[in-house]
Amino acid sequence: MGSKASSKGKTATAATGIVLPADCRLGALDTLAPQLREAADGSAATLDGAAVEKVDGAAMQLLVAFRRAALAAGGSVAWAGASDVLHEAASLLGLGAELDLPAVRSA
Amino acid sequence: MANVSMAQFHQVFFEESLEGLDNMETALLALDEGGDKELVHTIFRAAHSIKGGAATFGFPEMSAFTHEAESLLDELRDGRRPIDKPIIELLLRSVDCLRGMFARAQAGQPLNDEAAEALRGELAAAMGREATTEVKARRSGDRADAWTVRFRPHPGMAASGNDPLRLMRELKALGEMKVTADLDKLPALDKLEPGECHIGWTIELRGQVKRDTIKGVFDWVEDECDLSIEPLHVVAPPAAAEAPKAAVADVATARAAREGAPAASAESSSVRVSIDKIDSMIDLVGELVITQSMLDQFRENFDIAKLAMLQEGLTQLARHTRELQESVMGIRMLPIGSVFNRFPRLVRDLSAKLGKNVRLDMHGEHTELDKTVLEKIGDPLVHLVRNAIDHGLEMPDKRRAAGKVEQGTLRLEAFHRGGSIVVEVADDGAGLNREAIVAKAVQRGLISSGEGMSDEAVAELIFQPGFSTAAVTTDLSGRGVGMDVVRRNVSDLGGSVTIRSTPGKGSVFTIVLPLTLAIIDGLSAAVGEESYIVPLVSIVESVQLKTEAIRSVAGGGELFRFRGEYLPVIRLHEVFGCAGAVRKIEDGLMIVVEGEGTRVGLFVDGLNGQQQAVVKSLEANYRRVQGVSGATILADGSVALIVDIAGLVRLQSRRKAA
Repeated sequence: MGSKASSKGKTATAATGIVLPADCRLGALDTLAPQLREAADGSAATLDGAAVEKVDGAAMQLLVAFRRAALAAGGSVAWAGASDVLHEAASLLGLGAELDLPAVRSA
Repeated sequence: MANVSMAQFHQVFFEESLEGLDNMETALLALDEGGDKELVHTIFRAAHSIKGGAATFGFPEMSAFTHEAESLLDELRDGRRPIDKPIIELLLRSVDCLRGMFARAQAGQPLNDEAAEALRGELAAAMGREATTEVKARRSGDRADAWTVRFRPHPGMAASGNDPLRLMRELKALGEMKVTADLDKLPALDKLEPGECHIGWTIELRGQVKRDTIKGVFDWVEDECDLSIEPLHVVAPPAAAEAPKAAVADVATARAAREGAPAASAESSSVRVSIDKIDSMIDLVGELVITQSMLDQFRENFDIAKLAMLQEGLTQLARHTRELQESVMGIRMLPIGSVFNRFPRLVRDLSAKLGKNVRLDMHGEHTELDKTVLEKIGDPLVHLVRNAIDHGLEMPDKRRAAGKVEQGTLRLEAFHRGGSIVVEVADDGAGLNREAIVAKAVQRGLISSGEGMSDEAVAELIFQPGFSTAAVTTDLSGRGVGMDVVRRNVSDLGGSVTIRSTPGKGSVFTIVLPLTLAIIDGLSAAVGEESYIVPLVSIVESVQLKTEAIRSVAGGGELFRFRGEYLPVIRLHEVFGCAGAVRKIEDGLMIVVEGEGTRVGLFVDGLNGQQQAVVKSLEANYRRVQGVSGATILADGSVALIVDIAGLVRLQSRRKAA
């Protein structure tokens, strides 16, 4: 999945693939936030959250803000994958629809 | 997120909270005495941390209970309610109730009992009497089967380590949940500071949950968010009217719980050490390492010219070892104040109950004592204090009639004397009633008559099993636990208890305790080819006797006369079966020892000298042996047994009875 996303990233549409880290919590956001800001430039962005093992409210909030910004700039956000942890967090925080996570991973 | 087990933190939480409760109690008592209003803040803070901790560590009942107390304290703090006796009484009972809850939490039992629920009702009712309509409305909606929770964290909440996701997860554990996120205030991505919270939530929570339980989830972030909890459907409030009635009936239960509590909680297996003690120990270890390396150089090239240096090095080594030993022992030393703390409350409650006027006078709270000794000395002291108030101090009118001030004084004092700690419980009451004691002892068959008995001997009678002179047995004393138990508990700790009493002036109970249980001061005695350590604290005197001084009695026993009384002889070589021991009385030595209030003569070959013995448990390494309390390793590497005087006395009296 990841390789597909990155190969896509090199196409002329200038799509960006961002892989979310396993520990996607406040401590990781200083690195993640600039990446997301850059990606919210109206291009087609792909988020890969398959590896996320830990996440917190701050990270979820950042993802929401990113998606809103990307869409507002005329771009798109696609999910290359989302872990169960990510799904659970989105559901607990009532952000499932806002983040438009892909259907629960098949085993 | 990995599921971190909170259980590992429970013990620390319990210890800290119990300490907090102690502080609350002390401050409440000081308030009761007309102390500074600032104390309310201390009490409030203690309650607040307990509430927060209880919520975090998964004790919602405790958190809910403390919440009520805290609300009441809040009103006191703001001056919305005057601080009066009934309120202090209510809060003191809340402290007891929480102690009970902690005891149950430690024992893994359900936290809430009827008494706790009733008291919580009382706390609420105390506020409800003058409560604003808003508070009343809130109370009427205390239970519901569905709630709307509106939660908006302040931007800085996450920075303090509180994750909304965790709170949501905790909420979810309470029932079925429908969450709507409010993203209106979410800034644009380029303006968003990742560490700040800008989302609010509206949560519909369905389940039979109490408001306080929901509120408990947000306890830690109370000041960092806007929170409202409204019922969706109100159900009938709990039978609040019945609560106060139940409270009266359950006071006894609560008291029982309180008395049960120390047993469960007091003997914790960890100890908090001040950083100073640890630093000084590290310093000493440093010194020791330096000395060791200094000595090490002699191993390489030693000539006799360096002898003086070597000797100096060895002296240093000895000094540092001793200091380090003291310092390490010091880790286990805690101030006796932690035991004394319970007495202001006890004295207050007890004197009120008996209609006596008692002033408690405490000294030497900072005296340090081994943790094990400290934990076990509490109960005997409680008993002595109770006894002093119940039996020792007279009713105010009697005191006036005797020409004394109406207020009796109970003095509790701890201090060092030699290598021991002395704890005195003194009252200025009537003193021991010789006639009553003699009459009772005769009735009990302990003695045939009191004639010719010294006052000391009569006083000793109260330490006999089953002795109680209270004409009316109250629920305070006379619970089948007598002074004999006090003496046994103290002697189990290697200590002794004595009484000094002056008619009309009062009594003084003196408990002498060893500083530590790990090292004892003893006299090394030779018996045959073996050495035995006799604890110094039990030794009265040692005497050399002539064979004529020994009288044989029927049944094979031997007696000798010592200061006007006949003492039984225990020949150590017979008890422990030592070969090659001295048998002729005049060739050996009689050590007069005291245990369980009885004096006996221990017959040994001779004395090797006084020494400190590091106690090694025999039970842990072998098995329990009658008459031996442990073993120690002597300087030459051989093992010496430590004689258990109280055990020997028991052994002797059993033999006498047989």
